[in-house]
Amino acid sequence: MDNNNNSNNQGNEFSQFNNNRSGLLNMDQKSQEFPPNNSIQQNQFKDYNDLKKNIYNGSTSISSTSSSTASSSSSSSMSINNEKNLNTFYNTLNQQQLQQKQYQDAITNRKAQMFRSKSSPHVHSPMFSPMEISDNYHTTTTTTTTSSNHNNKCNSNDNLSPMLMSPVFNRLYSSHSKSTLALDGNGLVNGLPEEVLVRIFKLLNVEDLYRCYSVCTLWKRLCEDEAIFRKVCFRNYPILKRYLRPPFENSWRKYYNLRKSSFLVLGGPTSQSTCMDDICAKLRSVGIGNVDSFYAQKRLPTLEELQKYTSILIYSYNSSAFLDGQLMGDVLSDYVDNGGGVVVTVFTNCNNLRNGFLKGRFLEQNYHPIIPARQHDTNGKKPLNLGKVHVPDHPILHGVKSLEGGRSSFFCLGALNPEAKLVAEWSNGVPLIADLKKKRGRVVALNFFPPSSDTGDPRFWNSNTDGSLMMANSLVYVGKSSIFRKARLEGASYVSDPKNKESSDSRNNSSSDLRNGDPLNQSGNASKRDSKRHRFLSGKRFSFFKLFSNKKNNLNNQQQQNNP
Amino acid sequence: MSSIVKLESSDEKVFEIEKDIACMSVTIKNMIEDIGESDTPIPLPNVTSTILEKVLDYCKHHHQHPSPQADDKKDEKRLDDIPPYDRDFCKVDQPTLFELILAANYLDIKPLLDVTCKTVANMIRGKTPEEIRKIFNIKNDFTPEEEEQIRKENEWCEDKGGN
Repeated sequence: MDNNNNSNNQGNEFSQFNNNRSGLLNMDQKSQEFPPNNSIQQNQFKDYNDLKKNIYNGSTSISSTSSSTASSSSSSSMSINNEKNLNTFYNTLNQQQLQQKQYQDAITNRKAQMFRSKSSPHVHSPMFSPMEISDNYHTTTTTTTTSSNHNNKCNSNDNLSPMLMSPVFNRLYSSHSKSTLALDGNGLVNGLPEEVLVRIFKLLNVEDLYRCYSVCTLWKRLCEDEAIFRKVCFRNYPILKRYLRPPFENSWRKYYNLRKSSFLVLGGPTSQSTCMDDICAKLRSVGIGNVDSFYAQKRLPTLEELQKYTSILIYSYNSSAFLDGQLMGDVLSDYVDNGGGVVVTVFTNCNNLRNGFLKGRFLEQNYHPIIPARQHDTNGKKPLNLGKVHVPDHPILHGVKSLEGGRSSFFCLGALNPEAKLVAEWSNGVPLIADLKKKRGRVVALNFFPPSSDTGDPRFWNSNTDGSLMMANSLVYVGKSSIFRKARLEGASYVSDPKNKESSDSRNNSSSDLRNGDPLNQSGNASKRDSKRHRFLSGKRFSFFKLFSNKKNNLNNQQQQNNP
Repeated sequence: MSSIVKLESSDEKVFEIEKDIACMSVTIKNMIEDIGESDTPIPLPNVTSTILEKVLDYCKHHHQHPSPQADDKKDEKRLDDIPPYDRDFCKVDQPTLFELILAANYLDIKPLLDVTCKTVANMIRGKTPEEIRKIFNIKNDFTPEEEEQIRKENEWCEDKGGN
């Protein structure tokens, strides 16, 4: 305590001696009041303007270490009536000599902090030379150490803080042995200005970013930068470049993460909601929690709407599945060009269907991995099975053991697109899974009709086999999503996690409300979900749908008999 | 023939160089515009003579061999498209590389900053966090709880085709 007072006195007298430096010395007193740690040291020079003022004001009167010792000796002579004080002064003088090396380290650290706090290239105006700066650092460090022993500890702690490459630092650093560099806690890379580090991170892809994220706290903070994620989004999905703000979410990072775990089932017609429900239920059962459905019979989705999803599974039941097969094909090929993933299934690749078939640019520019042909089935004879597997370790086949096509085993008797890669065949030799990379996106063809026999129709694939897993794997694969890997990491399935399900449900709801042009769109799914969340409202809506959809069903039943 | 500009490094060595080459640095270009033509050397207090020499070598080379697509904006930034001269230029030890980055940042020479940043990004690419720490000698300053938290909350996604 006594010691502290002394040093305070010294400090005060010192400030009388040199008024210009009072700001700095006040800082020193602060550092005595609080336990010494790095943050205080950083505070000391956080404000660059303060520092600059000190340099300009102080450099004239105090320009070297020797003159500063002279000044402290004169300050001690002013308090010479106190014997204790004198002793402390001599002690500190000795320490000063012994710990010269630490001072030097402190200087470099200060430099580091200064460069860190202001990294703009114009900070260092050519008006003052670095020589001046380093001299002033000498004087400031000596005053801090003479005033308190605590600060010595600070300095040694400071050695752990990031060092910096700068010309000044480099001169000091080259005068040291190289080993001091290795001893330091943090490498030189962290001495780079933050904007440069962000610039480097912008060049990385997301997987590397994630790894950088867990390197150290500074990198973690910098990796969360919005600019990086905007860049990532722009790179992966060029269409977003015309967005000023991220769509659907308020930050690019959130949008990216949402997109990477959102999937869409696109199909029609509206009357066949059992098919859509079955597909969605099957996908949820194998771990795809966040799956939306969209009926394209009344209205086609826009490219902007589709930007919410990382990949889309598209199916059609009959010729009236889509409002317009031509436009549907155009939208989907745009979506693929902009980094989206599409899974095409039967009958969207069967050219005998007028509007259930993906035409337009999707057909003309060969986005179909299996070249469209007429639809075929086994006519109720022996069902098709998973045949020869060409790429056994393909992600789509992960966990897939069998597939039985059902009594009709609908398929498209098309040849493989020469650019596509054949993954597996049906037992009759027709391509079953084909994988095609197209521009930024990817298209996978699954040559079976997605609804399973659980819809009550035995003509569809046997629900005891792995068709749902195949669809889910395809969606995850074309969308470059990692939700399966994540689920494995967490050791819990998405379906059994109530919290997760809730959140995904609410997302589904909000999104379906958003673009629900036709109330029938979501009747099956939405009503089930609504009954959980808004019982009162859903009850009303449900009965309304029922009335409405019954009428529709009657109408459509006739259509259904024609197709397929 | 353009006029000669004098540049003075932090250790007071003076370099003479053609104005056109010196003006590849936006900082120097602005300074020349501000102060006009003069015989006094332009002080560059943030750049040492060894680094300045390297930077000027780079500028000279790229002044003589302008890269074919210097100006047209490439849509995508690829990491593996570093031209051979630049790749050799960046084959230096880490302190020098970081000094080059700082110098390029200070002098505002965009192509040099790009190529040096790409070099660092290439050093990071495909490495585990532990390897990255080892390469750059970075201290892991997460507490075990924080580390666990990061592992749990990672919403980041696999994105191999991201580049």
